[in-house]
Amino acid sequence: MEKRLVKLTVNGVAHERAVAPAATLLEVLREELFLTGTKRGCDVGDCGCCTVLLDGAPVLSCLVLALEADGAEIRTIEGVANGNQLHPVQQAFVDHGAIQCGFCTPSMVLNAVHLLDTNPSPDAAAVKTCVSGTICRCTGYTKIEQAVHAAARACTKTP
Amino acid sequence: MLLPAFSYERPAELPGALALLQRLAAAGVSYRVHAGGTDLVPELKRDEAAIGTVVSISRLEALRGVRARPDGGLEVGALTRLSALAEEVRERFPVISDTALQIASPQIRNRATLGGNLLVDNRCVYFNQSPDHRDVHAGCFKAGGEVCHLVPSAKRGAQPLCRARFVSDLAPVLILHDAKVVLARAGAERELLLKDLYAPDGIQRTQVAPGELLTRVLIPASATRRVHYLKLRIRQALDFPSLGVAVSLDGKKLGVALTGVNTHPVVLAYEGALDATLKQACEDGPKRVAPLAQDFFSPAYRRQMIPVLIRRAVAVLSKKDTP
Ligand SMILES: Cc1cc2nc3c(=O)[nH]c(=O)nc-3n(C[C@H](O)[C@H](O)[C@H](O)COP(=O)(O)OP(=O)(O)OC[C@H]3O[C@@H](n4cnc5c(N)ncnc54)[C@H](O)[C@@H]3O)c2cc1C
Ligand code: SF4
Ligand code: FES
Ligand code: FES
Repeated sequence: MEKRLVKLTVNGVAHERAVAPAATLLEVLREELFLTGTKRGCDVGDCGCCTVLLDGAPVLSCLVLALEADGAEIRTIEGVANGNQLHPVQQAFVDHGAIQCGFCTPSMVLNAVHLLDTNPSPDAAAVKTCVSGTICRCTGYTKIEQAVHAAARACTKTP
Repeated sequence: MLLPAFSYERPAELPGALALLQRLAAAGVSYRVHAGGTDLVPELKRDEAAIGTVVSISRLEALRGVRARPDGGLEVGALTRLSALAEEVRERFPVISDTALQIASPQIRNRATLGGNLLVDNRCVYFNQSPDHRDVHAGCFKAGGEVCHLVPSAKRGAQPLCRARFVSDLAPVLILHDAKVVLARAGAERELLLKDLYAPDGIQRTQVAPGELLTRVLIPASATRRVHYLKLRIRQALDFPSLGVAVSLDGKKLGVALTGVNTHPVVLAYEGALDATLKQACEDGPKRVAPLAQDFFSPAYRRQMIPVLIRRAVAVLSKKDTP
């Protein structure tokens, strides 16, 4: 089918691409913009690995048609660190062994970044909800939850 | 999984959208409405339906948000996202908010809409699968074929009955709030009680006619009765309800609405002393549903859990009644 223009601002950089209606945001990010930090797992909404922030909110990029994201601000895992300076959430994941194979990590980190942006002192239930939409086959979640709590403490300490 | 090719329209205004749907319906074009896409996109990826045009209604901002009605009730736009719904009705209708937060996952709730949830496709282990998985079996009724793998004795006949189960979590809860839905088409609107929106068949599913759009959900002010919802599932996230039980208490009236165990929501209503109505509901509930072997939990277990969850919900509601 006929391609259409889509405008996306990804990690602060404006892009314009011609895409087919059947292209998902995930495919455009990975295959057109070569931002392969966003993972393709199940491709049907079950695993959460394709999470990106769309206008600030975590969504599954495998379920978003690229044309639906026209005009949106997207943040992917590539846009979380500040140069070589890890985001406190990323640092906490490293420090707490919350990463094993790493496949779920981009999604876990983006969900946690969003959580701490909207709720700087999350309780245990809020952290559990934050990880509930992403499947991790390696860690058993405990260390991820510990890392998110640690990141919350680190973020509230730095002025 | 690649999406099949389709043409895509994204009208900016409701009248334009309704005119477009009317044109497509009149021309016999196979079209599908896209709201949040969290049910439709996987369905299209799995090639479950032939598709000509996707009509996205996601730009119809008039259909988004919660408004107070003159009579004190609420009007909720069909495009209101589940995460926003949960926030906006928390004070007035905490059970609607809690139910919305039991659906799918946080990321999905940031796209999924109320209208899409009420019209979510029925589920069957033999149908909602990748084409490779589906091709192992002959095409079933829902795929236009001659068999039903869940009920092998069923004959297609003139009106095949598909037993795929109804799974919306919000439908039973809103039904017990006496919610109505507004269905709009070019130049006209009709209102329907939500409980009358559904058809007893997993293929037709609803009364939404070609060219129609679900635009609003109306919750009357009188719906301040107490409602509680309990959802049976294996994981506390991502899983559809194996069984969902909504219960309402309003003076001498007891209401029950069930999801996940039939082709449509099953609604029971009683009036009288609670001891007697509760006993009756617990007896009737398991008899009025038809769970099949299409879930992690066995049909027998899902049936047995109906009275258990009804009693649990009544206990919660009764506790709330006595300050
Ligand atoms: C992993 C996963 C878990 C899920 N878990 C649950 C769950 O626990 N409980 C549950 O109930 N659902 C669940 N869902 C299904 C779905 O995400 C939700 O039901 C959601 O609310 C659907 O809303 P949507 O806006 O994304 O719908 P869409 O996908 O946009 O549409 C769904 C259907 O409704 C039609 N439609 C949508 N809006 C309108 C309208 N306004 N007028 C006419 N037709 C319309 C579409 O054509 C389509 O057939 C899950 C989905 C996934 C992928
Ligand atoms: S219940 Fe419906 S979807 Fe399932 S096998 Fe039978 S006809 Fe197909
Ligand atoms: S790849 Fe999107 S949820 Fe699994
Ligand atoms: S670290 Fe391997 S999936 Fe989570």
